[in-house]
Amino acid sequence: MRLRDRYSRQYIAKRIIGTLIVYIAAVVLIFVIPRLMPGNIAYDFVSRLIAENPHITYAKALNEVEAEYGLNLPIMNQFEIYIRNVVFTFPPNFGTSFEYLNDPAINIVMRALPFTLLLIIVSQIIAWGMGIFIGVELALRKNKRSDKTSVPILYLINSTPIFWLALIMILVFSLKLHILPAIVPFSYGSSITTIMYGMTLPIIIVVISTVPNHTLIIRSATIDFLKSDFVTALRAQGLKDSTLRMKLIRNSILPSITQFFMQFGYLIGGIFIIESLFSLPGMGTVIITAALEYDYPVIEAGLFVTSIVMILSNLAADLIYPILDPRVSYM
Amino acid sequence: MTGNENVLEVRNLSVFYSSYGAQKKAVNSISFNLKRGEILGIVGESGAGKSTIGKAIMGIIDPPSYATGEIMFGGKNIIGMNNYRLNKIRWNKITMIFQASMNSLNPVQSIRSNFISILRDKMGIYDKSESEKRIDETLANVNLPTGVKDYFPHEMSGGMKQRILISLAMITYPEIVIADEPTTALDVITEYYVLSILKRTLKASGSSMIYITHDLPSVVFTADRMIVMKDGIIVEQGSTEDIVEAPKDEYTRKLVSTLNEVKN
Repeated sequence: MRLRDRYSRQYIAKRIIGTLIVYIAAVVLIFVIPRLMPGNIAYDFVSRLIAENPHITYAKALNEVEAEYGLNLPIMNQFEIYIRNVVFTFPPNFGTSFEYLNDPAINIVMRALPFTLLLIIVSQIIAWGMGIFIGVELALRKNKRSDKTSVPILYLINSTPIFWLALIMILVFSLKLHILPAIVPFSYGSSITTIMYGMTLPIIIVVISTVPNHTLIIRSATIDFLKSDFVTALRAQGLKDSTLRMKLIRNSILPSITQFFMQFGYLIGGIFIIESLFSLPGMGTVIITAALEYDYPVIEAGLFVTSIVMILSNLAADLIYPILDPRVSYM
Repeated sequence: MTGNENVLEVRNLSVFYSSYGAQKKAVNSISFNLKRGEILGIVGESGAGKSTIGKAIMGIIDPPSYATGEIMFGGKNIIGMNNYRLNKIRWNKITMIFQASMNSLNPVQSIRSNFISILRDKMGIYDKSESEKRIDETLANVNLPTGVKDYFPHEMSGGMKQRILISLAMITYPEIVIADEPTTALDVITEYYVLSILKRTLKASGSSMIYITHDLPSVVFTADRMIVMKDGIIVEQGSTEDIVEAPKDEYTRKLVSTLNEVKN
């Protein structure tokens, strides 16, 4: 069966409809959750305005702000405006940031997105590659000393909190050895070399903390299919070691591809610890700052973009699988 | 066709399987010879140790299981040989046809890649058009259209897969082919079709074959000589005709009587 035939039109339609449903659910939740939070956005905003401009009268300002942001409207009308601005406008309009007036919230988030994606994509490709390599090697050495000592170490690293690992790495590489910066020396629009220099330590940390996960999954999958008949047949063929290994790697990619994309989705939500430790101007930092400052438009825009990335990476995982596994076809 | 020269001499071969500390003797001190160009059938019920002999000859018995005795091939003992030297024999000199019911083909690679890795690693053929030519030739030998090289294993029937396994085993023109229940999963008509293809390709390359099966009629059809095994020992060996005409052992007699019942 050729690759194109492995996807039926029906399946793709089904998958896209499913994705749309998740998208709509995310959009609705992003509207609901900030409105369930305690406090009043307008009070907060106005008290900040008054702190900077003491001549403003409270009640008048409150009315004006509520009118400006449509907060005096019934909730259904607010929802209608929200949907019109988010779903039917491109780029989605979440309003301007409370913190940086005149700057649309979506722009603030989109400026930060490349840094987060760079960190996650580079670290995950490295971690996945290492995981496949180490996992297959350990599976081939099952019950030997190298495997028996490696596996507990991998579990240990796997259960080490990433922020603790990051602090130790900063202590060693930045404060003792002075090799890599503890706070990233770049911001939007810095040169590539500066960005790569600042990114090195965060990437290393994410790689170290995610390699064990990939490795352990690939190791156990490989151990499973080393018992299978076709591996016995391959060994009987007396192929070169490198050929045999490539064939094992080719097969072990399959169970790990889902893990790769799951890890990707997990990280896009969980990487903010690393970002805020290094003051890396990525999505996590933007969302945390916004949350501390009650910058609701930016929180909403941040959650929105995060959801989009997660939804797309899940869709990619589903659609990529048949390319790698000829047995799978989606009908 | 059958010469007098022995290509393989097995002496006092024993194989021990051990799992969780318990040890089981799967093959108990057996000896036999394989002559050049000959087809030797090994018959016996399941668990008699037939397949184990095949594995021992290929050197794929994994520790903690082990084999003792001698399997002499080309003046050297295969038992105890290191992997490097075994790999020079595997598929260059001795090949194996696995059961079709076993999924012996790499499920995620096309038939072409299965052939190409053997052509590259075993015959040093890296040229693309040359390897395509070889694959087409060998597929034609087993009556398969050349289009099947683009197929994946799951897209083929049992009979097709079996013929692919045969052509994989024959592509290097080996001295010995070990066929381990090559037709078990097939219906009777396909079985004899595949067996006649196998016999024809063997004749063309002058290879010897060890034909392992529990199916006596197919041995009578295929083999020049046969060995009857039970519980890890050889109960009888001789020419196929002699054994079928006048079985000496109790078990063989029972086995042959089933053949006669079918005839009557």
